[in-house]
Amino acid sequence: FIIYIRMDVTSITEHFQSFSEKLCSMQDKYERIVKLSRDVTIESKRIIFTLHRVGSVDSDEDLLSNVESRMKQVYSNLKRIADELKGDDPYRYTRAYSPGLQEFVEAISFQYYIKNKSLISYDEIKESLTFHCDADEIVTLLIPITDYILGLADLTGELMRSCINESGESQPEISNEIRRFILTVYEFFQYVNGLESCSRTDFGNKLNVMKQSLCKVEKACYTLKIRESEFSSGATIT
Amino acid sequence: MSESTFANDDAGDSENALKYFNQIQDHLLIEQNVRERLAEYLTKLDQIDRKIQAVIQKLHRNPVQSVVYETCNVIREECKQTIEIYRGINNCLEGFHYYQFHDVWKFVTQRLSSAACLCVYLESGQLASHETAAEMLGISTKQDGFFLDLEDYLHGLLSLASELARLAVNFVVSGDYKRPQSISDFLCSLNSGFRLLQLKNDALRRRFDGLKYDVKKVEEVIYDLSIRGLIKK
Repeated sequence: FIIYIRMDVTSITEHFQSFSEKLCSMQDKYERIVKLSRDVTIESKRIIFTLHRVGSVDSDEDLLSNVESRMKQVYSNLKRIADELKGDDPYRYTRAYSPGLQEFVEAISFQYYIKNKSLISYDEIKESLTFHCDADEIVTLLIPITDYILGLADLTGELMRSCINESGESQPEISNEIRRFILTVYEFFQYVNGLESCSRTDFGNKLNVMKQSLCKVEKACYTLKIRESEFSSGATIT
Repeated sequence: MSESTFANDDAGDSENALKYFNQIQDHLLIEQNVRERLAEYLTKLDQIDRKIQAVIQKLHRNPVQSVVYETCNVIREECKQTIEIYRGINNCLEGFHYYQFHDVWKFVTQRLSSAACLCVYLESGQLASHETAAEMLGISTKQDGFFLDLEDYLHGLLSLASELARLAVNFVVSGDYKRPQSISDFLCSLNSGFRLLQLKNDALRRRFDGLKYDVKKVEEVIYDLSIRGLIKK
């Protein structure tokens, strides 16, 4: 047992220098991904803002083509994240781009709902995050299912806003569609509430917000129904 | 229209919705499953960690040579047990990613790595390298398989610094006035080493901020000893 050996200082320095290189390259990559994620967030928010204007004063075609081109920008940033992650364990960096992903899910599922009146599936989103590069190379961006679910929660908020705007124009069918849609998503959230993967995220918070959105939409549908009986215009709510 | 989820036009589609959401839930349940299996291994690692902690407290109580010797033996023996457990964890991860579940074993691995480094220091006065610490736990440092995450190893070193600072005090209590000096030198080197890392504002950086207090604590011990002529500087 050697107790008082003079410790080797140079080797400690060497060790830490190599640690420094490894850590720096990981941290720089993390920073780059955070920046790309922020760009995705900003662009997605603009898309959502534009989508809210669909069906009102401006020409739908212009709006939707504007959305398309912004969406291309979003995808190009998501692809750059995927490129950064090539060869790495993507889960090391999921916290870096999770906010961007959730905003993206919100935007694309909103766009999808407006077009198809239904919910874009997790598989469809995953597929859209598979990028084909030149030379037959395929690069995929990992989207954890929790980001899909949380993005969905945000979608219900946007639909609620859209419904409240519609109510002003007395479109009871649309409001009721949204009500049923949000209700279905809410039921699902109740279903998975308590699963561990969800509890380590913003899940509980978003569930509360969704409940409030749901109540607002129910109230809006209620108001329309009452109004329908006041003006016997023949308009019905199913 | 997405056939795999649900359309919103008729009430009868809530069945489709349920089917779709069941698929999603299956995804979540798969991950839940892995976590449950990992939890069993974590319990075993925690047991080993507790045994090691107990023997380290014994060392603080009476840090004479025979106890130092026994402490290192126990640490080495317990670390031999971790080899199987980490192998079991690695098997659970088949088809998944390391960092997907890293949070499960992160903290206990930091403590075990710290114990391994303590053992090496007590035996030889040297800093156990990343590879050595990993080897003692039966894992590798290469990222193609189960490995000791570099940041976990570094967190372990910072815990080691606190442990040694406390030990320096207890060495004096037990009448050993020589070892605190080598602990002081060791912590100073660790400190300069860590300063070479350009740490960002993360958990490691915050932990590192505590290192200067450990360094100071031992410097005060050395000061107390040297002004009383108990050691030659």
